[in-house]
Amino acid sequence: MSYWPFRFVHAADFHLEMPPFGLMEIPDHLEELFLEAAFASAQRVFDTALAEEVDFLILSGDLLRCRHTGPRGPLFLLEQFERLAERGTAIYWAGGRVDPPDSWPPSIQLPRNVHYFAPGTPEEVIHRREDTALARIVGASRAHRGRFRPSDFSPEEPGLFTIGVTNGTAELADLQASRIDYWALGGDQPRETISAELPMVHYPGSPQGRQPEETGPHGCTLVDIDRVRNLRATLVPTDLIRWFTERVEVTAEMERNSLTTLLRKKIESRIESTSGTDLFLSWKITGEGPLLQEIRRGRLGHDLLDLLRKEYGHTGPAAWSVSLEAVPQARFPAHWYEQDTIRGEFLRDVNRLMEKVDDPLGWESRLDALPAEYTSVALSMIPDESARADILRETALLGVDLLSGEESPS
Amino acid sequence: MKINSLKIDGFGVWNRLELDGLSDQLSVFYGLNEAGKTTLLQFLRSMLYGFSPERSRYLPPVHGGRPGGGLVLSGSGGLYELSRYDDQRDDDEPARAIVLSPDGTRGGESTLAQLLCEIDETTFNHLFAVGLEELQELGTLSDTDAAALLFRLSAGMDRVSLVETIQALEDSRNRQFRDDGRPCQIRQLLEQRDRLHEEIDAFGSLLDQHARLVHQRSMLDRQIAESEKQKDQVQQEASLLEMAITLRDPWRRREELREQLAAMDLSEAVASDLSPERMLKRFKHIARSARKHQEQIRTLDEKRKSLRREASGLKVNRPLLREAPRIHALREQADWVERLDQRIDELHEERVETEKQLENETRQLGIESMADPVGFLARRDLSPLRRPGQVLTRRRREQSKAETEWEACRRTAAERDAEINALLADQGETELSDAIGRTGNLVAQLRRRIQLDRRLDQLRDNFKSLDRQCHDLLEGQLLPASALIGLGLVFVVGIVSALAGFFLPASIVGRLGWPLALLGLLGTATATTIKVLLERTNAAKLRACQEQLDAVSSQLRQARSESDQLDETLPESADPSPVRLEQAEERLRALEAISPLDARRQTARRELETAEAHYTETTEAFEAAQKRWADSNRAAGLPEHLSVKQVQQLSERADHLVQLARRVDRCREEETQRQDERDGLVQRIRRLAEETGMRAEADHPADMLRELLEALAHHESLDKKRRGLREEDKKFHRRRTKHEKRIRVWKRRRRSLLEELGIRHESQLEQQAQREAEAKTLREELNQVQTTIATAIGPKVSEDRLAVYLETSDEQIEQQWDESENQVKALEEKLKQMLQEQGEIAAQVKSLASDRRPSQKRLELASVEKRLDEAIRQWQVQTMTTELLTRIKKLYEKTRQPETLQDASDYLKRMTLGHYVRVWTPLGEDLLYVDDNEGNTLTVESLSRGTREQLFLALRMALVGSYARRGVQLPLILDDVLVNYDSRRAQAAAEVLHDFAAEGHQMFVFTCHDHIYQIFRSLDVTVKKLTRRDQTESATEVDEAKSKKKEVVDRQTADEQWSEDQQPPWEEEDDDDYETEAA
Repeated sequence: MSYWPFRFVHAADFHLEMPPFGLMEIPDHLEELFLEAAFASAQRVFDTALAEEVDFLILSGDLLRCRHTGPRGPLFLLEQFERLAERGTAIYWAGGRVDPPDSWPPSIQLPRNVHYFAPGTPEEVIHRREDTALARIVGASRAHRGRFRPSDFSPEEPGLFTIGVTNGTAELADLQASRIDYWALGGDQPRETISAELPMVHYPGSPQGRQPEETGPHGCTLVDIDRVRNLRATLVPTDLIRWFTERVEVTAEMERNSLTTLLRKKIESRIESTSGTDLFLSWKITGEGPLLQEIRRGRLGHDLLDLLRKEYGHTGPAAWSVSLEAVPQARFPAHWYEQDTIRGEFLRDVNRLMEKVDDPLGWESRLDALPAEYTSVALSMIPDESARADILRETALLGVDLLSGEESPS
Repeated sequence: MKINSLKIDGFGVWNRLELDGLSDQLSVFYGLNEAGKTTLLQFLRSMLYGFSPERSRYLPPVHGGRPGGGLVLSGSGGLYELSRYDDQRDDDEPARAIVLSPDGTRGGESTLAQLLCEIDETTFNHLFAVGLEELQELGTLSDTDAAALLFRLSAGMDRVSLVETIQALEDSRNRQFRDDGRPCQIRQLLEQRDRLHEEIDAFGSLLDQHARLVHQRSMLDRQIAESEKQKDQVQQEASLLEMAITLRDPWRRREELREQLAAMDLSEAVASDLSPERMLKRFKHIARSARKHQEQIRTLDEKRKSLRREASGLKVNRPLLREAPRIHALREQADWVERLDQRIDELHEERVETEKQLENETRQLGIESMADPVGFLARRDLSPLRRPGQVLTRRRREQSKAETEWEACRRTAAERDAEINALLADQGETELSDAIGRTGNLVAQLRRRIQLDRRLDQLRDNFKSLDRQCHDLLEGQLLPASALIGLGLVFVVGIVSALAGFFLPASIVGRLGWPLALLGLLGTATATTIKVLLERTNAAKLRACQEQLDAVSSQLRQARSESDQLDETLPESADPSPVRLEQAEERLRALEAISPLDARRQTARRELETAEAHYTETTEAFEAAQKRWADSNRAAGLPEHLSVKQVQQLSERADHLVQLARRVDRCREEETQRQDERDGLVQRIRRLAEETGMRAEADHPADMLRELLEALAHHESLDKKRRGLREEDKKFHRRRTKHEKRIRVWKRRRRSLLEELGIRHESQLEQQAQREAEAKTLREELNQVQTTIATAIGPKVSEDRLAVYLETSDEQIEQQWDESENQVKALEEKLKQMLQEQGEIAAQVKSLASDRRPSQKRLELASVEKRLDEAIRQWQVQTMTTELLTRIKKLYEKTRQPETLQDASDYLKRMTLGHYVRVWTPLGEDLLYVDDNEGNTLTVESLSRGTREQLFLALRMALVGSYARRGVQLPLILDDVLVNYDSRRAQAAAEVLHDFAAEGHQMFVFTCHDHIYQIFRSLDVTVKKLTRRDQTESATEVDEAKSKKKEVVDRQTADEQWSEDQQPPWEEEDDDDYETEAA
């Protein structure tokens, strides 16, 4: 059986209200970039839809929180919707956690090419090219707590290529059991194709990485369906800021100049491979030797960071080094744990706490000692149990630093 | 681990030093200052822990040898041979240790670390190496700091102080939350975060504001559209009325013009194809052309007259023009003349300059007074002056150096004097030793006085207590009534029972008669015995108490007497004794603090005296050299006053001066020659001027030549101009003839035209032309009026529609027009307001649409939250670290401190000859107390410096003992730690160290003090005497007489030894001195 081929763009999680974050200080010359990154990357999604001449655009929610963007957010979207309206391109939008349909300002009228799915029972729309039906789009805005039932989206009549549009999560088995050909999902998830076979289940992720941990390219997904319903999903990068974590290993013999050269090579290689996008790099220095100690305890880390920022952080496009930290070895020398010294005693204590994962660290009692004015924020200072290992590791490092004097672990 | 022997191949001043058979208990190394004790200590550290950057200064060895050495160590498995050499000093590679195990295997740093029981260098230096530095540091600490340091020692010591580390962490942690005058990071971040949240929440109202504006804008758009439509209608009517008013006059004028044209007669005309105007133009053209030629003829006549006048005024010098070739030939010589002048000037300047230079140099060299200095220089011989000059220079340098040293010593001595005098003046003293002696006596007396006061108080209390006890015992001599009654009752019952038993019949008492009698007798005897015993006991107690009372009374009297005697010797003061003691101790401490300065002052004075003598000696030598120099100058034919430098310069510059003199002669000769050539040329120019009738005003040949050339050029130009005037006159004449011909032609043309028209004069033509012109003007005006009306009406409005308005009266039209205008103005005003309002709303909407403040605040908030997260994480880590360290501190205080303090108490008691008996710390408090033998408890702050040092040593020994019990046995190295002990305590401390070593602790004691050395010798301890830096002798092998030789004898012995070996480079100065002394 032969069908009409068609193509569409799938995007989500614009979060126009939230500029990229995770830096303690934004350099002045990059502030404008940070302020515009969310909007500009979203605009590139619409540019992609126009350039690729798609049949429609699917937005799987979390585009903006109107109360936080102010009028700028909805008016920006309106302008982009109108650009697509001039070309007759339809938009199917399912609201997410931050953009349920009732949050859209009533004073701003959406163009006729936008179909904004309501929450609750999924709504079915047949998308036509002239008078020919191309696809069936079944959508609903985000359900309570983001859990939806895929079976609710199943069409009554098979035949047309069916796209399920919503924001949230569901069991993979349920998704696969539904009569949906392509699940266009969204909701604060990184870009991921949970199932590549039909039905394809896909999260496009945000068009812009928002923090140093969201490394690599971000963008929207261009989906092509051919005459025999073969489906091809392609990433179209739209990000203005791209985050990377670079790991560099130093040896005991390595000198400062060698390390500097190594960092320069890495950064130049990265610039070359991602031309045109501003890069933000987090450096993790691993290995052993005096350089590692100098970075951790001395000023070498700051000096290298200043050097890299000066040399590469002001070019166009910029390659800004966000941080440079020494990652110490997982364990200290074995004989340290055996020594009958304060340091040995301390390390043994830390080890005991690491091993007894079920024993709570008892933060509540420690917060009682805080001044009264911090009572309101005290709870937020209790770390998650997931951070237990990190805190103990950092505790071990700090204790060893304080108790070792100038001795190095090498 | 113990050290059995050491071998130094090369380290600092030591080379090829071998010390075998080191005691595994106590070894003492005795040597004077700079004998190499510290070098030996650093060598031991280098062998065990490598050549650190601080210790690298001992390498390369002063006397050569392979840098490094080795130790023989005894460990649990036998003997180990440790060697470490720094052969590759240029590389960054650290010198590695090589350890040869008893089984023959080779090990490295890890084997050595095992031998050292994993004790790193920092801990080793803190615990096992007690040096002068620590003692000096302890001496400089305040009382509180010293007490804290000693407490920390008692609680255990590692690389760092646990107490200090915890305190630093606590401070850092508290700073994040508590605002103690400095910025508090977390508080600031929290405030920033809350403020930003409030600002972001406030941005939610922007949407409502936008909605209101959009609604207002749509309403306004509708109103504007309606008003514009209304305005168009009114404006259209007003424009018709305005048009009618504007066209009212042209409309009427158009009617008048039409009537005038219809009435005009244009039938008469001249017989010609051309119009009268054209004909008139032709006649006027002919007359104008003829007049123009006539004017040209007059102008040419005037010009010719003017040319002739000008030509007659030009006067030309013909002889000059004839001599022009000769003048031009002389001009060729002008450049040569200039060069000649320039050369003469150059030669003159060079000669004068050279003469000045020659004069200056002879003056500088001091030989200007000589009759023929240049001649002298040409045949000079200054070699005899070289030797005296060298001697003088060397002597001057020596004197200058000695003077500088003398000045430095004088300044140093003055500074030392001023410093000590100022400190003594602060204390109201002038002489330090007297002041210390007086104050020391006073402190001892005051202490004794306080002890007596305490003793008196104690005795008084005892006396009162005994007195009360005697009184009670005296009262107790009579038994109390209850006892008497009880005993009496027993006695009476006993008597009655005995009597009853003896005398009552058997029928009454039965078989109980005799037992009853015996029981009665027993009771009576018991009561009597008890009474007697009680009375005797009371009497004995009373006697004993009275004897004690007498003894205490005697002690009390004795103490009072002693106290009174002390009061007589003490200076009078109203303050109580403890206060006075505190003041005196404070004063004594202050004076003792000056003692090191006094020693430095004495040293400075001795150095000053030495420097002054050296300066005098060098000054005399310098003056002798000066005299010899003056004699040498005189003998060489030079002025006596010439300095060595001047003679050196004279020798160096003699050739130069001779060349200068020759250059002056050369310049003068050439200058004369050039001047002659110049004079010949001047004569030739003057002759030529006379021949041409010119007069030479200038003196310089170039100027004269220039005058001649200028005159020639002037007359040549006059001649040329005259010929030009003549040519121009001829040209004007030809042009005049042409103009006369043209005038005749124009006259002929006028006559033929009149004949052709049949008129006699041009005036007839003028009348006809005037009538036609009037008609034309009227038609043109009519066309203009018609165009004006059509343009004003336009294509949309017909003339008929306008005619309706023009038919009404003028007043009516203007009234209607005014009304319409007013309506238009009102509507325009209203529209203007609405458009303005619309613009404002549009601007507000646009501003809202581009308002990036929410994003900016979000960005700012993200940064603040990131920083806050970091700060909180830091707090969490610091909190966890602090808690763990605090737990360890408590553990140490609980398990290790009591043991350490017990050992330290024993050591301290022995070192202080039983004066201080206990070191202890209250439960849960970071304080250290010391009890004396009288039961007094003292804080560490109240101990004297010497006692603190004894406590310091006792704590270290206790810690070393503690480590040894836990299996860590390393040698204990003590560097002059007994230096501040008095002789009795030094003896006691040496005995403690001796016994401590005998328990199995290897110790090395370094000292430079003879009395310490003697103490250890008296204890039969192995003492190694470091006699020189490159040799050692065992004191046990040196006889008493030799060891007590004076230093001079030692020195001579050493010098004899040096003469056999290679002379050590660091002794060069001593060698020189020795030579000086020998001379």
